[in-house]
Amino acid sequence: MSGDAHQEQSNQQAEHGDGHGHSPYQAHHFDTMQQQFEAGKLGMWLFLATEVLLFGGLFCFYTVTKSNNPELFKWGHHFLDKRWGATNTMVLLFSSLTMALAVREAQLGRKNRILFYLTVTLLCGGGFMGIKYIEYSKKFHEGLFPGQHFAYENVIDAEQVRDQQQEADRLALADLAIPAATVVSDTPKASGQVAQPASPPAGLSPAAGDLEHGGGNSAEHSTSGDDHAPGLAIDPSHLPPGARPANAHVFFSIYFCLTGLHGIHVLIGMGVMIWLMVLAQQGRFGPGYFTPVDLGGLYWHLVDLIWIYLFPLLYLVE
Amino acid sequence: MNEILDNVDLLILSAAFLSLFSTIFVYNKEKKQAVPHPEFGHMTGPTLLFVVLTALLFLTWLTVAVSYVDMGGLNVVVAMGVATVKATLVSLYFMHLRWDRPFNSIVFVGSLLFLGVFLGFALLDTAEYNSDLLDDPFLKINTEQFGGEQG
Amino acid sequence: MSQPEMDAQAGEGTGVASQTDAPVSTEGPSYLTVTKTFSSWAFTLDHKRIGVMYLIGVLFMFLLGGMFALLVRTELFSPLAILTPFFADTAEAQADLYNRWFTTHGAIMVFLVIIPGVPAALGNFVLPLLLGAKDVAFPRLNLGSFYLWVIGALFFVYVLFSGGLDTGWTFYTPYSAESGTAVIPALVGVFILGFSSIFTGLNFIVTIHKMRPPGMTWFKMPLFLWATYSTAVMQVLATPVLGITLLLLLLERTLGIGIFDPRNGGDPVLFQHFFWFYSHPAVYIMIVPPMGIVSELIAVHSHKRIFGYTYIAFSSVSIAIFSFLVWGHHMFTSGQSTTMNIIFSGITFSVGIPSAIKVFNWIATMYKGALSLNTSMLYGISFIFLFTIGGLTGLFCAVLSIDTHIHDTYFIVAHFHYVMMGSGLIAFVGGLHHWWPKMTGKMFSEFWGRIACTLVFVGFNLTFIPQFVMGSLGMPRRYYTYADKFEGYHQLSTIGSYVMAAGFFLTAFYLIQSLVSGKKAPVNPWGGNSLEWHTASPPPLENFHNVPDATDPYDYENLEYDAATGNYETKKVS
Repeated sequence: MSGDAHQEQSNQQAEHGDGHGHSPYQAHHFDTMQQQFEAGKLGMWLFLATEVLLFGGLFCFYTVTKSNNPELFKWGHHFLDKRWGATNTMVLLFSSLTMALAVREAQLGRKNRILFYLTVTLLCGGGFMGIKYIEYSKKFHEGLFPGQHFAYENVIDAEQVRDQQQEADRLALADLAIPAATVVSDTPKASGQVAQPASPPAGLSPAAGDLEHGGGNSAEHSTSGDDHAPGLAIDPSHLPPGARPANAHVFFSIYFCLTGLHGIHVLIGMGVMIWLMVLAQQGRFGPGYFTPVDLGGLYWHLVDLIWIYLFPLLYLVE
Repeated sequence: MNEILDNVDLLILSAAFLSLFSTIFVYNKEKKQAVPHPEFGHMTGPTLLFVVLTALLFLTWLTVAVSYVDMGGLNVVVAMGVATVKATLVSLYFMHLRWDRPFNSIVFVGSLLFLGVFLGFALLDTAEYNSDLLDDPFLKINTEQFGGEQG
Repeated sequence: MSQPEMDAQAGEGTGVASQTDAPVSTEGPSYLTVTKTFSSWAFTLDHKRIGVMYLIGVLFMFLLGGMFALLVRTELFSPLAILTPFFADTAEAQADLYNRWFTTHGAIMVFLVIIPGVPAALGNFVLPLLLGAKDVAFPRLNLGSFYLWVIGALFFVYVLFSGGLDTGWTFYTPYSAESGTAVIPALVGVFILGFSSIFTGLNFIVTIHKMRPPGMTWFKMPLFLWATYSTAVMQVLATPVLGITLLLLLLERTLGIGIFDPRNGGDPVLFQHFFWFYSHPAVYIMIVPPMGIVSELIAVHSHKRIFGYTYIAFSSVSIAIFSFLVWGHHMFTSGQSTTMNIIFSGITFSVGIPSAIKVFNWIATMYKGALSLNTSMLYGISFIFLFTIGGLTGLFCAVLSIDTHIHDTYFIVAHFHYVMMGSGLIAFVGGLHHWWPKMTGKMFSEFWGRIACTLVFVGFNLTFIPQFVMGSLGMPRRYYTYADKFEGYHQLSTIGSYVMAAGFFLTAFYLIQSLVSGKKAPVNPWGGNSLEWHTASPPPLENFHNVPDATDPYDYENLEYDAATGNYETKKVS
């Protein structure tokens, strides 16, 4: 039983520690600072366990939907930009490092360095939320809201334009009687891009405009993305290939629930950073008392850990 | 901006190498210093922290790079496997679990186990009746009997 | 750690430990009298005061929930409308009012009374005392969870005043996504109450792990601590899932995110999975701590060492683990797949094993003991009797074929009232009597106590045995009216509920009377040997003037009754 071993240890510490007097941060109901530290740490781990299960409900939502309606994810994940997701992963990983370094500096009691590392961590958190803001505002601009507010008409409009373009494209190919070689060389390229989920959804359909302009560079054309019909919220060339599944909004419900709850946790973590910075500024931390930084760090790492799973589940897995 | 983002895999890779070089730098600096001890708890050296970050960044690059390759069902397995390795690294080293009281690890792993029970049972059930709803069993029998004879 | 090491360590002590046989100092102010201002209570960090505040809140909510139970029972006295016409005009509105009454009764009793009742109210008071500790590990968090409870309770009061709630306490979708009643405030309230429960559980786990006194190994802990520990594990692991469920339901209702409501592409059975993943463990959160209380009651009042200590301890833990694996037995007729029905049914039977182990051990403890049939012991014995009925009828419900017949009938209602109320609340009241002298320093009237216990016991059985019968005859639950053939059963049941209410009101009267003019309580009125009986009644602010050594809590050999003081004292070694 680990608890017994601990007690023995803490008793020895108590006898040993009496000579040094009590730390000003020791609560009256604990015998030693070590007991207080370990109680805090166990408490934090239990809290993290509750966080795991809190997110667990959302992961269950994800898993059940994905296994029973995989087509939702095949369709929806085209709207997520894995480039931003990967950048955010790097930002959070780096902030985890600075947080771990902040804990170390707190253990050494070097006030300025604690403040420095906490500031970097806080800024990384801010950067993460900034990137989330970019991603969210793009979704909101396109009308990709969760639930009943999902703007199906935006998607349908874009789909109509896409289908018209594809139809015009097909007819143009047939009418112009382009030499067989060109058709063969063009089509695999296009279909190859369809199969590759990773490539920015450029030129899924060699747009009709290309042919009218004399068959310009289709990839360059559609990344510019300016020429789609005015008033269309979604660039039709960004639409996923294939038919839209029923209840497409559920994908965005999952996306917003998971990243939203995670984002709230990042914001709370940033609040914790500020609180820790105030404590550090008062010169509270040192070899004998660094529990708040340690526990704040555990929380921050858990937020990072959840993102480590969210990133592949939402952005990478099809 | 868009061009940098389009090459995000290279970006991650360069960050990983940057971290690797920092590791060497930090290691050389740490070597010259005496190793301090806190009164309790475990203190992790900066070299180790940088090594872990380097590993995490390389793994991130790996998982992003692999996602460009279509491997069918294997993509999920690889992505989850890499994520689990990353999560283990973070919890063992950044979160000090490696040196912590084993009970803290039990708490954490225990929460994951209970989450597994929750996910597993819910999935097992919904998967079954979802297919029931989609393929009416009566219709299924019919197609098996008559469709088979015709085919 | 091996036994000799343990003894050596206990012998060394921490320097402040006194000999157990030294007389307990009752000098100085108690926790009740040390400060008297309102803010010294409102911002107290003392676990005893927080426990007392919880107790007052829980008892008040018990009164409120009980009133709604009486309204429901009175309404069902006849198939015709009796009470509802006073509040509503049309027949639909009257029936709807009935729905709100039973929902309010259920939600208040579950979330505000039984779940916090034993762990938060009694547990807060007793747990650090049993450990010989000065406080729980995180006193501020403890106060925080009390205020979360208060806020959650206020949300429920708001629900009452804003038209009530008619979804049933389970919030089943799709109805809860479209009901016109105050679902959202109720969801927020339960969400907050959930966090209150999580923090209490977290606090208790850390306290038991890190603050046991020297000499108290895991298997020397009083069994109430084992029960509280198991409960805390369930609270910590299950309640977050309730939190996220309610959050998702909230989003389904406001945004229509398409998880639980089939109109938006959701799956209503998935809601039941989410809900019962929490709420089945919650059922054990309600019953395991009362089991811990009963282990203490039976041993102390039989003046005999508890029989099968290890088995009782492990059965608490195994109930906690099983509780996570059986939630699907609430969903046998909800469209759950046959495979899962069979799996859940099978695991459900195995919960009977640890429960039965406990019952056998309690009975074996009483066997050849010197039973004091005082009020707390009578509640303890009532518990064993009622829990056996509640548990065994639970096995009927676990049989798939029988459950198809009795699901959503009064049989289920009677079954879970036998477990939740007949066992959970009865043990809570028993524990309240057991620790009342320690909490208040006053003795209550044993005479009225026994009469009240008898009334409650008789009234309870009169209320719910007819429900078993009519349930098996097909009377569905939650119905506003019923076929004439059930009228006799319903009338018996209603009369029983009045008898029970009389018992509880009598209890309230003599307990309040004891506060005013009760005899002063001695240190150890019942002859217990766990650490709370080694300090003054009521205890001083930091619980112990001299922290006693943790001895065997179930060793009653050295105690001797002193008729002059009404106290059990340690035998003088001659």
